[in-house]
Amino acid sequence: MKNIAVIGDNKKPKFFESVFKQESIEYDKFNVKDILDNIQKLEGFDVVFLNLEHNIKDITNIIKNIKNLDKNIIIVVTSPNFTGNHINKAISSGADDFLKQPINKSMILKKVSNYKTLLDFRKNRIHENESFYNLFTDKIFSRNTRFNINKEDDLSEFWEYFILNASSEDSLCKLNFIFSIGEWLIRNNNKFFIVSEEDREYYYLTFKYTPIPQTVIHNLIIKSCVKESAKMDDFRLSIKFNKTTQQETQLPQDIKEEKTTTISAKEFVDSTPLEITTKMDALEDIEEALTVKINQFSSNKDRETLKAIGELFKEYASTVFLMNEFDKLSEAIDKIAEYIENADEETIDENADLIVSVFYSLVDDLIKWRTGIFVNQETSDIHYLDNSMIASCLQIEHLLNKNSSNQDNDYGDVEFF
Amino acid sequence: MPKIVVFVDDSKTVLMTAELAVKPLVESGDIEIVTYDEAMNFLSDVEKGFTFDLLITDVNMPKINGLDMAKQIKNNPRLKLKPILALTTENSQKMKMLGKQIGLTGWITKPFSPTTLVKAIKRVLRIR
Repeated sequence: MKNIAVIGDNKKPKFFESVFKQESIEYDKFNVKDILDNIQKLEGFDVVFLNLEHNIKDITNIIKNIKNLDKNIIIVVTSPNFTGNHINKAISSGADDFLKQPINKSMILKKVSNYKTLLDFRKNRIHENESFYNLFTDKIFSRNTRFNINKEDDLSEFWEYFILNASSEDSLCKLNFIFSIGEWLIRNNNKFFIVSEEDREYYYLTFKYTPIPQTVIHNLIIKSCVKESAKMDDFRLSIKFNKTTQQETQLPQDIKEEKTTTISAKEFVDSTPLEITTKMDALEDIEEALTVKINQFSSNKDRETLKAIGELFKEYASTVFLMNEFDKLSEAIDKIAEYIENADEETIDENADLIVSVFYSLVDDLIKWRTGIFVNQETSDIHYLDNSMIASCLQIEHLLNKNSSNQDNDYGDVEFF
Repeated sequence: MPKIVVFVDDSKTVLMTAELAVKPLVESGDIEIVTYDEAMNFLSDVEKGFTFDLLITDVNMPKINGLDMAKQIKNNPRLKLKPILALTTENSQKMKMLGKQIGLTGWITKPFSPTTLVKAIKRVLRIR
C-alpha cells in the first residue's frame, strides 16, 4: 500500500493517527476545507480516513468527489458525531468502511492490512479477457451485461438502465445516438444485442448485429457526437464512455448544478445549530408584519406602506441569508424588495391590485417554504423554491412592465418532444 | 366546449402569473383552468375520477417531484394519452431527457412570457 491520507476538521490528533506513528505507517494529514477546495490533492493516495466532527453535512459531497477522482481509493469514514443515518449516507455515497469509535489498536492494524488486500485485488482484477465484445480492448473486467433487443420495448429497457447514471452531456448524447441506431436496426428487422463492458477508465457499449453495410452506420457516426469514441466492423459497433473526472470538469454549468447533493428538510434541521434554526421565529414575525402591511396597502394604495413592505421583504431576505444554505433564495427576495423600491409611481398606480395579489401569493409561498422545512420537515430538497422564486421575480417584473408599457416580448424556452 | 387545462405548481405566485397569462384563452371560451398548489391534491382528485385535457406541471416541488407525478398520470390507463407539459426553472438536458422518456409532450422553461405559454397551449390543444 502506497499512501494514507487523513482528512479532518479538527487539529487534535486522532487515536488512529497515534497508532500509525507507533507502527511507522506513513500518512499525510489534510484539512477538510483544503480538500473541498482542491480534491486533486488526494491524487495518488490509496486509503483515505475521513474524520469529520463539524462538517458532517459535506460528507456525501466529499466522498463522491474522491470516488470521481479515483474509484479505487478506499474511503474509511470515522466520526464520533455520526448517527446511523450518517453512516448509511456515507456508505451509499461510496465509502468503503466505517470505523466505530472507540477503536483499539489491533483492530486498526487488522483493518489496514485488509485494505491492502482489497487494494491489490482492485488494482489487479483487470486481465486479458478471451470473450470480449468491444472493439477497443481485451483488457476488461470479467463481468459484462447483455441486452437482447428484439423490439422497441427492449431498447427502452436498455436505455432506462443507463440513462439514470449518465452524468454528463457527452454520455447523454452517446446514449441517444445508441438509441437511434437501435431504432434503425429494429426498423430494418435486424435482431441484435448490446453488451456493456468496462475497465478502470471506460465503459464500452457494443452492438452485435447481423452484418449490415458499414457505410450506413459510418455516415450516422460522422454526423454525431460519438465520432471520436466509436469503432465498427461488419458485425459490431462499439462506443466508449469516459469514467474519469476530467470530462466532468468540462460540463456545462446547469449539469454541474444538477449534480449537487440535495438536502432534505430533516437533514438540514438536524445538522444546523439551534441558534440558526431559531431564526425561523423571526421569519414568522416578518410574515405576520408583511400580511398586516399588505392589507393596509390593499385599502390605501399609498407609497409609504409600499415602502414599508419593501423594507420587510429586505429584512426577510437578510434573515434568510443568515440561516446558511439559502443565499439564492435570499437574493431572490432581495430583488423583489429592490423592485418595489425602484418602481415608478405610474407602474404602481396602474397595477396596485395586481401588486397586492402578487404580495399575498409571495408571502403564501414563503410561509409554505418555512413551514415545509422548519416545522413539518417534509421537504425532500430544501432548495426547491430557490430558482422558482428568482423566476417569479422576473416574471412579476415583466408582468408589471408589460401592463405599463403594453408590450409583450416573447421569452421563455419551449421544447416539444 | 372549453378544454380543461390543469396547472400544478407549489408556488402560488407562479399559478397566479400563469392564470393571468392564459386569461385571453379563458375569456375566449377556449379553455377552463384548474390550479393546484399541492400535487397530492391533484393526484387525489384524479383518483376520484377527475379528468383534464392538458396538464402543465412544475418539476421541483416540496413533496413530490413533478416528473414522478407525471409518471403516475402516464401509468393511469384513463389518462395516459393526455398531454403533459413541464413548466419549470429546471433546464438540464438530463431532466428533459427523463421527461421525454416518461412521455411528456414538451418542456417550458421559467420565466415564461404570456405569449410563450399561450402559444404552447394552443399548439398542444390545437386551438386556432
